[in-house]
Amino acid sequence: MEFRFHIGSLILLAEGAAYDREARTLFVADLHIGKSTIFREAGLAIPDGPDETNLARLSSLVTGTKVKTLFILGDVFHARARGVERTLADWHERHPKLRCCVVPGNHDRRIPWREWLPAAEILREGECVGAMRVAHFPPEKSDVLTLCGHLHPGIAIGRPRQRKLRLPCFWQRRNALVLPAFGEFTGLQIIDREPGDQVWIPVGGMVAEVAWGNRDA
Amino acid sequence: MPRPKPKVHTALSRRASAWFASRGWKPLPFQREVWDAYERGESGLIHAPTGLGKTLAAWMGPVLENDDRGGLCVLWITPLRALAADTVRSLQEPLDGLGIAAKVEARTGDTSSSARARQKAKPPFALVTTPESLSLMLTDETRVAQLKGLRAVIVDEWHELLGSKRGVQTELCLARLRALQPKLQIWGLSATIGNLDEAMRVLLGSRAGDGRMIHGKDRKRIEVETLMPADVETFPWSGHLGVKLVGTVIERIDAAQTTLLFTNTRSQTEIWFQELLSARPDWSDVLAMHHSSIDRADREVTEQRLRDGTVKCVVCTSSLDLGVDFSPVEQVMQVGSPKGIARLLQRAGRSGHRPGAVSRVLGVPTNALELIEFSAAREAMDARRIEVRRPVQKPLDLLAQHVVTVALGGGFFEEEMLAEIRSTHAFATITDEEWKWVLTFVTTGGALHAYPQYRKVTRDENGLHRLTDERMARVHRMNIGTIVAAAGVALRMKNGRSVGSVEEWFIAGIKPGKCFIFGGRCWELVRVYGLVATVQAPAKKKARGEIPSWQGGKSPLSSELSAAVGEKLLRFREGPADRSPEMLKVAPILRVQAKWSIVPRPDELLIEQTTTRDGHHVYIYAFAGRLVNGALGTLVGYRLGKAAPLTLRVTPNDYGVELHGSTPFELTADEWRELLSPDDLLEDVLASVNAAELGRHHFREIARVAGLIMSGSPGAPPTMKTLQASSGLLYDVFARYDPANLLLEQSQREVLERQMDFTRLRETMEAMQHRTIILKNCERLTPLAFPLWADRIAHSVDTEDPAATLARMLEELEIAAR
Repeated sequence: MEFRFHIGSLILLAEGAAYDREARTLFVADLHIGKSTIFREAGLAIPDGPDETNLARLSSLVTGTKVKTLFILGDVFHARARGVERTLADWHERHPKLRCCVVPGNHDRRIPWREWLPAAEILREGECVGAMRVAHFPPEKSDVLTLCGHLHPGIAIGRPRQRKLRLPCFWQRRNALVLPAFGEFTGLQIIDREPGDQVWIPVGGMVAEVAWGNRDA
Repeated sequence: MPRPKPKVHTALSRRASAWFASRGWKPLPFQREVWDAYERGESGLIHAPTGLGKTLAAWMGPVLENDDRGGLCVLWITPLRALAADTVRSLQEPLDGLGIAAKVEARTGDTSSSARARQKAKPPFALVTTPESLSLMLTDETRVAQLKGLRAVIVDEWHELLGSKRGVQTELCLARLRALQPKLQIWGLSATIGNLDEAMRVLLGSRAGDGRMIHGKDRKRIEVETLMPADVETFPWSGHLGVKLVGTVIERIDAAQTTLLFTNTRSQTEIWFQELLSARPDWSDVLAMHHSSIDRADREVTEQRLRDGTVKCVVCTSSLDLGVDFSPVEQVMQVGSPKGIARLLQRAGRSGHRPGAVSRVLGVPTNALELIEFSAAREAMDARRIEVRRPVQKPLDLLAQHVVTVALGGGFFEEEMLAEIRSTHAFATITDEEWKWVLTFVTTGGALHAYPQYRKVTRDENGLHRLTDERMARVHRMNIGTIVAAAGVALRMKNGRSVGSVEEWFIAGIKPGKCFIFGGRCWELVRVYGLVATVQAPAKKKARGEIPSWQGGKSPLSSELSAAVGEKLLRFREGPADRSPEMLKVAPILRVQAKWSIVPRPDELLIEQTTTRDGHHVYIYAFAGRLVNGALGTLVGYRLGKAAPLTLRVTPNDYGVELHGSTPFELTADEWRELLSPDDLLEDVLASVNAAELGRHHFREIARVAGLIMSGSPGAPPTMKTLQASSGLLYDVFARYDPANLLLEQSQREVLERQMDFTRLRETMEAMQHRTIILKNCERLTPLAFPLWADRIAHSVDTEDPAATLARMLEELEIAAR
């Protein structure tokens, strides 16, 4: 589903990314690379795979949309785990023309970007990008539309007292547009909707707005 | 090999008898038999009903065997830590009486760390512990060294552990202890169950061949009396909360010193408590309530008051089935279906809890058909046809946990460990592949991949498997003891005082400011934050509240009791005449059933088809218990839907299942037989219930036991926060990247067993092939059908006023029946 803000055009993709066609830019948030590795280091036998899948999904998005710039809105890595130092840098080398911009998130505090992602531009929280801002944390208030992540927003659909279907979603409150977590194996946080909020969920390859009237329990 | 016949009693037995005599008691023959067997170094199972002196039978052997009591000599395993304090008292008493300076202490989750440290430095003669705490002891090398000196392990209430995963945990721990001390004597104590021989085989594992089974002669009389409704015509045909007999119940409570009023669910407990209190407000100080959601401190107060005899009546659920050795209970009542013979027997045993005393239980039926159940239960009880408890087979999550435990408590060599594991009943048939899988799961992180970062259990150059990482050791210890699923939402008052717990979905349905009944009191919900709900006394004096209905409270009618009910119906139809008061009472209703349809025999499968104002109904009476009947209905619905899409509602009870649809069913007996065929059963069941979703939901328990989830404790270091993931998320990752993971399959298997009693479903469907299908087209709902119809209406959300619909329908039927 395509919709327009008062600035340019942003398209929400069912893959969990935002796409600016005119600026040829792609926005994703919360990859959490290395999460399964961290678990295994701690003695929890989680299989490998999510990282590879996540980066493959990102590759096909980048090539499919032919974007020139990729913004990652924080929590690129889950933690500073051994064995994932080169994961993203190797991926970036496979997309040499792609400009990669990163807003570090709370999980990224100890990441040595120069070694782990040498070709990337590291941005400050709330940096201006055209008429918008990019951030990891959803701002309390903002003068212009801010694309952000951090929350892993999701909604639960279903009748009261029954097991609910939980889905990741895009969530806009005032000027903050929160992207769903791009990485799989990241989990959801069910949002508390308020009147005026807008919510979109991926449905069959599309993104559909969830009307306020259909509020789940 | 013939065993020596013990004609002459051993020295030990003579000493024990002398001590008995000094107290004015006379040992029972089975007690002497146990003492003789103990002195000969044997192991085995002691079977006797509650209150016959099993404890002393098992205890006097280790106490008197010789005078060397250095170090830890005896472990006494109890299923409930709440029982530990009572057990310590009753074990210490004979030691003191004999003037033996030896101590019995408790070691459970409640034991303070200072007491634990003291026990570790200077172990007492005996420890009373739970399977979880024993498992925890096995993670500590110093402890393990002490356990090598053990002489005896006694497993109390083994029938309770058998059939659960905690039973398997016990089996694994016993195998470990046997490996540490080959001469260890193991004795189990069990109440009556249908498979005692198997119970002993499970307890003793590969050494079961030498085991001795000792039966306490069951001279204890058990009487079942049923409270009779004055007029069965006006007695409800259905319902399970009925309080119609509350007046008579109050008379009986009044006449007795103390009463335990057992119910089947926690909600029923709350309802009966309210009813009794509103009828007798003067009892507010002597009426108490006990169920597993009530805060433990409050429950302990109630238990103590029972011991002191300062309470007149306790309304309770199965939380009081076990232990708590209070003798003053004069009367036991059972409200609603007894559900099982062993259960009624155990509850009856709560009265007259002394050798030689008569145990009595007073049945309080809440609907007409329960009259049959009480009568059937009495007959089965007299014939000692008691339920079987099936042991759990090969739960790999527990094995993974245990292997890490052993790696932590000194380490193991692969070959020896496998032999030890195979010496248990649960893992006797574990294949080399399964074992390899578990071993790689804890060493390299998975059979498919070897992950370099993964280091849990490591193997040194000599082949010794150990876990040395301190952090992982701590996490593992924290995870042990979480086999029992976590409680729901904790209820607390504003000052932090704990009230109890309820299930999440119940509290989710209540808005802050609204009231609900819990623990016999009305509470107003203030707020819910995370897994804590804050409550306060309601502002209004006469506030009315909703009563929570807990899930999982409804256990199905056991196979044995179902069969006994079936026989009762057979006798009604074909004689000889049944003169039991319950059957005489219920006869008019069964005659209506016979007139409008048929009273089915056990070799018949009755299917009734009816059309009413609200649609078309089919009733299938498999008499297989609620879970199986429900699964059967869902399965038939699925198979019908394969031919043509349709919408069905499935409502089961213990006798049968209703299928309700908007179009007529119009099937022949042959077509029904086809639909009820056991072919492709597993496949169709998996497809009919969305087993993947169920398995995903159930995975939390398995993931926690297998050590895939950190049990997040308050105050955990921040590094732990990066290690949080929901079990659903883990399930998805495994399903996608490691679909051959054996834990996924286990999750599905367990959920099928737990949610629909799959083994019993298969047996039921296979047996059904040999039953004659009787297809009846009925003009109206029969007495067997009505309860099912009413259940659906009562639980239907779309009906405007279920109570009114129900009353009208019942009235019409009763008029028609006259």
